[in-house]
Amino acid sequence: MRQSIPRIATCALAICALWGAACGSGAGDGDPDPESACETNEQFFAREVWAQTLSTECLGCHNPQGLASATGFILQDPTGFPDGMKANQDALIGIAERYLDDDDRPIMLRKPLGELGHGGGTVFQTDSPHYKRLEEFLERMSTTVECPTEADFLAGVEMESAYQTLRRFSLLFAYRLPTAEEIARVDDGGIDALATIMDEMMSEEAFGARVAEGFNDVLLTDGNKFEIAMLGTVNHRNLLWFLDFPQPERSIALDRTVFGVTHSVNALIKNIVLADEPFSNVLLADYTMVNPYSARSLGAFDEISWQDPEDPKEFHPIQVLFGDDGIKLPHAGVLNNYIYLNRYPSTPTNVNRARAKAFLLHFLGTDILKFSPVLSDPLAVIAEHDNPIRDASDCAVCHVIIDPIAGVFHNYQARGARYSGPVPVDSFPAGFALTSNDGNIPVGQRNWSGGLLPEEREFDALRWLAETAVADRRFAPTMVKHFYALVVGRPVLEPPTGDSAGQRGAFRAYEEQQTALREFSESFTATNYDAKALVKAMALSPYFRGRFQSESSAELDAMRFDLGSAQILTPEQLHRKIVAVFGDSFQTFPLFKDGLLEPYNILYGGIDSTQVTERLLTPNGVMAGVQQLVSNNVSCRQVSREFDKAPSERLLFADIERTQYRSTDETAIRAVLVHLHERVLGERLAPDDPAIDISYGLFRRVQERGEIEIEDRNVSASLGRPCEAGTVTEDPQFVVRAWAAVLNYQMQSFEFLYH
Amino acid sequence: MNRRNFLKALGAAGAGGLALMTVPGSTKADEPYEGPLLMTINALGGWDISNFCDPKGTAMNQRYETGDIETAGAMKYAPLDTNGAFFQRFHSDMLLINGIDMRTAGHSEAARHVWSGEQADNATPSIAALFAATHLDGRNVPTPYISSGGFSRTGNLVPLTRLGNTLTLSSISNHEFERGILNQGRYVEDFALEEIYRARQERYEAAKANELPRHRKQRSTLFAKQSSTPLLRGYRDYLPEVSNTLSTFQSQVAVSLACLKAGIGAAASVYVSDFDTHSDHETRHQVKLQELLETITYAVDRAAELGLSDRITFMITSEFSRTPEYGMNGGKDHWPTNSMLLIGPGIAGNRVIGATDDGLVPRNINLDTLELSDDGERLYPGYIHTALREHLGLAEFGRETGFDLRMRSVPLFT
Repeated sequence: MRQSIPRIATCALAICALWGAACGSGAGDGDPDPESACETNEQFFAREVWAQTLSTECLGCHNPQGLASATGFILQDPTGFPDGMKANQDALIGIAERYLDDDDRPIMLRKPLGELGHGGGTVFQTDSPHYKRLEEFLERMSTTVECPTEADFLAGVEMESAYQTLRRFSLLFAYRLPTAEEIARVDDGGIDALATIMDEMMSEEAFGARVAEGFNDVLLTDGNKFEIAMLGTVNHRNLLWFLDFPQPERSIALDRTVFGVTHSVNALIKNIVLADEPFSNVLLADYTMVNPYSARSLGAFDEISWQDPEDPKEFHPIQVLFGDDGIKLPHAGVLNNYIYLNRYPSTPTNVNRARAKAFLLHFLGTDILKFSPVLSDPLAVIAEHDNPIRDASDCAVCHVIIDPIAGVFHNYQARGARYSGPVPVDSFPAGFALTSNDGNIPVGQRNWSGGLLPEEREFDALRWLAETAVADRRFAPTMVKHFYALVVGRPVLEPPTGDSAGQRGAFRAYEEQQTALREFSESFTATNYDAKALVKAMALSPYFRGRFQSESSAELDAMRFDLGSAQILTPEQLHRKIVAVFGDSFQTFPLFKDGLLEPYNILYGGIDSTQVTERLLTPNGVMAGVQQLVSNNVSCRQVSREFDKAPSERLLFADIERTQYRSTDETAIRAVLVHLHERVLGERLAPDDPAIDISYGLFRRVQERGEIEIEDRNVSASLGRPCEAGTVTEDPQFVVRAWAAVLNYQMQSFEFLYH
Repeated sequence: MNRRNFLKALGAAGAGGLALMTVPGSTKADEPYEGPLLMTINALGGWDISNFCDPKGTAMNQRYETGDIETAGAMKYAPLDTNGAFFQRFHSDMLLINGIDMRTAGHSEAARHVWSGEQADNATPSIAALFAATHLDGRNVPTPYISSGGFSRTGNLVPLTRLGNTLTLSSISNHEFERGILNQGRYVEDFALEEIYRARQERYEAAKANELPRHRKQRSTLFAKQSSTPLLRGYRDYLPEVSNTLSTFQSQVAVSLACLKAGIGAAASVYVSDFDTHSDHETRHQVKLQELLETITYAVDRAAELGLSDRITFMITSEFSRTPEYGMNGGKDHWPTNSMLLIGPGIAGNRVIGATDDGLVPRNINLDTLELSDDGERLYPGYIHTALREHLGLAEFGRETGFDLRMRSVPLFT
């Protein structure tokens, strides 16, 4: 029995009650044999028909914008379209049932053979595996395949505690530990209180920053090298306002101006969520964001009441005016943001195609390259046609989609500047799918599946594109997919492609997640694209909170593999957690202040948004080495710093005096360990818990051995530069370093390094 | 069940299922690896083979005439810049494959095709990843497959490692790093570290057995990788004494080879970027090709210094070549023809296989004799990879894990 995801608009209590009802309710009522060869028709379709035939042989033309979009047989890329697999199966069945030839055979089996005037010619032969798959699928559809009752997806699955979710949500989205007051509220009020606190946390600035950071993993604009002059002084006379400054002021002003432009997409997304604007404003926002420096370049500095006109991180929304006449730029959210256009530049032979490809991928979840057929001989195709992109079906299959969209970007130059005058005719050279060989794309052919660009929308063509994109049914699911990765920490599942019945569990995992994503998507749309409600619903779902299960089997494990975050923290998230827990960052003194941000970011699986654009989601030995370095560094420095403070100011050792470190009072030591386990690991343990035993044993062994080593003069009684702090320079009984060993050990644990 | 058998069993379930399974791994560091090695060098962006190893001259290349084409042994090369020095130095050790039909001129598809042998967009790993997974066979080392960039799909067979510069990697290979700089104190004494490891082990073993599968797998993976870090300490011994004169690309090579020499990995992918010269082709490409040749030369020489010559294979190629004609702004676009260089043990040098016609279009070859033949077939990357897999001992593991290329082999190495 499938558990339905509640509507976001419903109250938090209802959300939690529904998820809670699925949890801890005992074992599933089915016990399928993982060796069974039974396969449902849905599984056969996904594994065989879709993965190995339709997606490779048919999708290229039979998609909503493809060459065969008028045929009535339309397929979807299911990775960007929840329930797309079912829609594809329904589409195939519908065609098979409705359209028969004179011998009552489905035309579906004849068209791909090149018969009955198939527009795509001969795609495969009757002796090909493709044909046999279609045949078998049709045979299967006439019968019902009964497989043993499948296990309940969530029966026996146990969520983490409300406290654990509070702590993880707080660290991930508020960049801090929960306060004592918040913890008390959750202890008293459980999930209901948690949901309310989530709402409060999402009003904090950190939440906006986190959403922007997560979307940068998709849009990849942050960190892009940007030459401010690319915006053109014709459009913005004051663009280089700092040119007459002496050095180093000129360089500082330049850097901060560039920072303002390069961070404007992030600032826009942050502003949208913190201002509670519909998230559709990612495309529809009628403004852009500037800091005090980029505001000067764009002539908007005086319009804004700055809190600190010297702070490059202070951003405000403005409407850009360009040209000597001060024409208002028709903003379209991210779409015509200067840095977005710059990140996906236009080239002389690929005019605006990279932008069209990015638009489809980022906002409609459509990877145009998946439509590309495997060409047998592209050079022959090139030789055969004067304009193969337009005239050869192998090429046109993609270009007929992407080129008209590229045409909608026609008002913008190669590096993002808006044309200040008439758009040059040669901005659409021969070679575009819908151009004549020597001319422009006519206005009526700058289009896409959202419709034709109306002539009166020439000036704000991208805004028209944005409006029609938001109305497209792929927009909400695509945003949900991005948010899922942002909340849970990894991409949504791809359709399983395994070629045996052993993939039943994997298929079920995919199917269940598709259902969840569809329901998230419906609620997202119903709430007018409320990002906060979406994040909360995801964070309260088993995909974020799942923790235990009452029984395990190969199939159950495969089925539930995507439940629970269990995701390694990114370098940025680990940095923030260290700051939140210890009050200071990992610093490789004296070289780097925030080592996980620079220089260890890439080594720890991070991205730079330009050369390295995919995060590593699985740790390797080098990342484990970084973890050890970070643990060594932070633990040794923080213990000394703690003991250098008055007890009332400490975060870790408030209950212990430095002079008491020789205490043999095990009870007192265990009490401190209980506190450390909660603060560092989020574990609320009794003093006699086995986990406390491990920490106590570590502390005691290190301290006793260290004291002996000092007495034997093998080890110095002094802490030395990396680990000393203020008055804490000596450690004659090795106690400071024993506590450091405990923190070191805790920081290397799964509970600290993952969320 | 060992890792190989486990993966073999999974092979029956299809490669797509790998992502959902828990692959058992050793939870303690193994001995350093001392077997065969592979380094792939990627001319990222699409190199112009007509300015390099498949010269044409007049009309196709502004900087030289057809009559000026030079030779080194069996190989012809464009008489430009440092090409001559490179071919004279390496031709006797190098197998050159020309006339490879990429069947695509799109970056991502071509990269996938040339580095994995598979054109379709599926999980097939890069040959370097497959190499590491095959030869390490579950050995718990810190950096099984190192990639500095470019196509580096792993097929979930091995974890991917991205390396930074020598400084950052050095620092994690030795917890006394700051002591080296400041000569004061240290983070943690060795005996304390041993106790920390012991506690870490106790905590791992005490983890609840009823965790959801993702938690179990991630916890296990983390513990295995943490257990492998002591091997990192050996890596620093093999970095070049002088590294500040190295280019960015040579630094990638230096760091990667140090890891391979230290036995903490088996395969590495490095690159030289910015070959995608859609404008001002001749000026920009000239610089990039020279950087590439310097990088290859440095890699071969450095491997020899480290005593790896009899263990390491170098594979050098790009996504595709560039158009025969110049386009707007003096640029050259993508052209679905390619070449590949191979150097390594068991590879007979001074041989050229395949060719293109005057228009840089691949010519057919007889796949049995490798002679040019109008009645033959085009040479696709899949044929080359199938042969390479056999030569490098990867074929069986590729099949077992569901990544068979389903193409015939060609006698490149026999």
